[in-house]
Amino acid sequence: MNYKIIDHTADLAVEFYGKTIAELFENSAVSLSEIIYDKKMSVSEDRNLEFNFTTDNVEVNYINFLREILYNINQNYFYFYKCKSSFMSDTSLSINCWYSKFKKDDIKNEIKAVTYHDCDIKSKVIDGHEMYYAKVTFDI
Amino acid sequence: MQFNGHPINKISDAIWEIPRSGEMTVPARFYATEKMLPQIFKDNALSQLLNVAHLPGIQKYAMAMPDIHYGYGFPIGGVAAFDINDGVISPGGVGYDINCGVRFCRTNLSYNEIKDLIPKIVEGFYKFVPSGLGSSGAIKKLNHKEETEVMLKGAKWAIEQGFGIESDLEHIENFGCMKEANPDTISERARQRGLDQVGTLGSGNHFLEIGIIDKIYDEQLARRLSLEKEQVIVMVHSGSRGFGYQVCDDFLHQMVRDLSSLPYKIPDRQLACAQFNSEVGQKYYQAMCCAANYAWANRQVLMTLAKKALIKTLSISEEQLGFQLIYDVCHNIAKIETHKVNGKEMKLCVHRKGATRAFGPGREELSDAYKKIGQPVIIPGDMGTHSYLLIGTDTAMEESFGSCCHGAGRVMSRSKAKRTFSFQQVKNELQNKGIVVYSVQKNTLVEESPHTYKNVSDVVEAVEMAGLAKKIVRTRPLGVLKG
Repeated sequence: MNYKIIDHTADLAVEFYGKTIAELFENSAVSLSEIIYDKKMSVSEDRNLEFNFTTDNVEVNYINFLREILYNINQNYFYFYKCKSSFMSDTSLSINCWYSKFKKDDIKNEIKAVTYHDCDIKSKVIDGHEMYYAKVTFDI
Repeated sequence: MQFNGHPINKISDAIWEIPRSGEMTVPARFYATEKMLPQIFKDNALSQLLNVAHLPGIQKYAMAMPDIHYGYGFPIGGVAAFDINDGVISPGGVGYDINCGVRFCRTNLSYNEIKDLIPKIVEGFYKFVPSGLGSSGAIKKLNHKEETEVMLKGAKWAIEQGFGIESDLEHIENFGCMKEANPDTISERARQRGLDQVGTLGSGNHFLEIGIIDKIYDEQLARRLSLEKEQVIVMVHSGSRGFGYQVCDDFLHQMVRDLSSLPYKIPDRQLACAQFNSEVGQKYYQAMCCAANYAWANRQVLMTLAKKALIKTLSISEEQLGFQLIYDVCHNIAKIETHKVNGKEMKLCVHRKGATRAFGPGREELSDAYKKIGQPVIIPGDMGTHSYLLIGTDTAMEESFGSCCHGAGRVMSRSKAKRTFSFQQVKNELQNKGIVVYSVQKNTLVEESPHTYKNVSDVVEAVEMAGLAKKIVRTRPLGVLKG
């Protein structure tokens, strides 16, 4: 399980998961695409975008990463289907995200913004495995 | 009575106060009747209100209107006023959809003239008004210069393009334009997102509704506004679309980045803010004004498209239709206003997030049409129940910085709504009530099901009990276009 939708009165709250912080970033981008397009899309292209972040303020950088992903989905209709991250140094993370471009009509659930509200990245044991998770509130 | 260990004091039948404690700089006040309290406690929105009470320079109280519900950063229904000299401005306190708002229009039509034509009218709305997520195309894509004009002129720009008449401006908050707009503060991303969305309804809770006045509470005021029973009215609810979202996102990002350098701590990053008089505070305010103007231009175009749709669908003349804007109010905005604080007049930056201005008589900001009687306040309910038109009061000026609620307020999450109701179920329920609804996205209709909102009549009762506004008329929906 890479994500879970949480009830939120007015908007949308999602918990994203990953075995590592890096995988949390990767899974979140792909999961966000799946939520917005409402399914796994069939992809045929192999284009990618690279994002670089430091991990000194991980929650803020995580939200900023999601802001970039969301902008590219909403404005360019990108569907991110695979991400691969690597640490360039102890505190510098590079994330490559592969995408296919779709059409406006393919978007089924509009997410308008990523908020910083109550976002913490923590770890907990899920099904016997330690997992990192982040709860994110989106404006819809 | 307590909330999360905080005592709640009853101030009157519709006013409740949580005293200042810890690092709160002011107490928190919320407006509700006693029967609304369990829902408000369950929703946890009061914890967000308490967070707002921590912000620097906040005056009197962190306030929430009776439609309060859980949001992010500020609760929805939140009102907070900050001293412009040593207080802050917060993009999260305004919200992403800057100047999301609603307008209320009258017509010369009566229910009997259109009762059999509602499906055709809603279909006409759909044909004329671009709606749904990311919708575009009502008017041709703007160029850079035209978009700058929209940012600077607001509703007036739309009128110059043939959408509406000059006198409409007298019936719009701020005459449809905030003069402090500065397009130099707008990012390229925001510009790009705004190029093709003027004159689009959008998705979510935005709507275009035709309804009738089914109850009059104040005959004298109703007559003054040329409103009568069985009269057909139109309401438009939309905002600044992707443009406003990007403005909020850009500045929130900047203010979150600068948080560690501020001399105070805030309890939620989404409340990131800057001193109003700082460089970034001023830039955000000027950018927010651009987005507010964009929203007014958008609603001006949408209203005119709705009017054209009615003329075409009903094959009547403009004179026969008698379409006239009564008022346009903002829901998400920060404004510089003068209010009395502890008997002294102060210039404040009043944030309203999911709240409506409700100025009473005599305010210089009001046009001649409303200076003597106060400002009309529009409170839409969900698409299956009533909406209300009220008038602002002197009490609101003293109590709530001239503010009131903005709608019914959600009680059920969108995901729970999708688990609970089907598209057909919602559509049938509305049909059984005689309401024709067209929704571009099936999901939107289910998410906006009437059961997902508080009873708007309870909300309005609380507002009136607290004296924040006074009822003029009630309307009921006949046909709704949802995005």
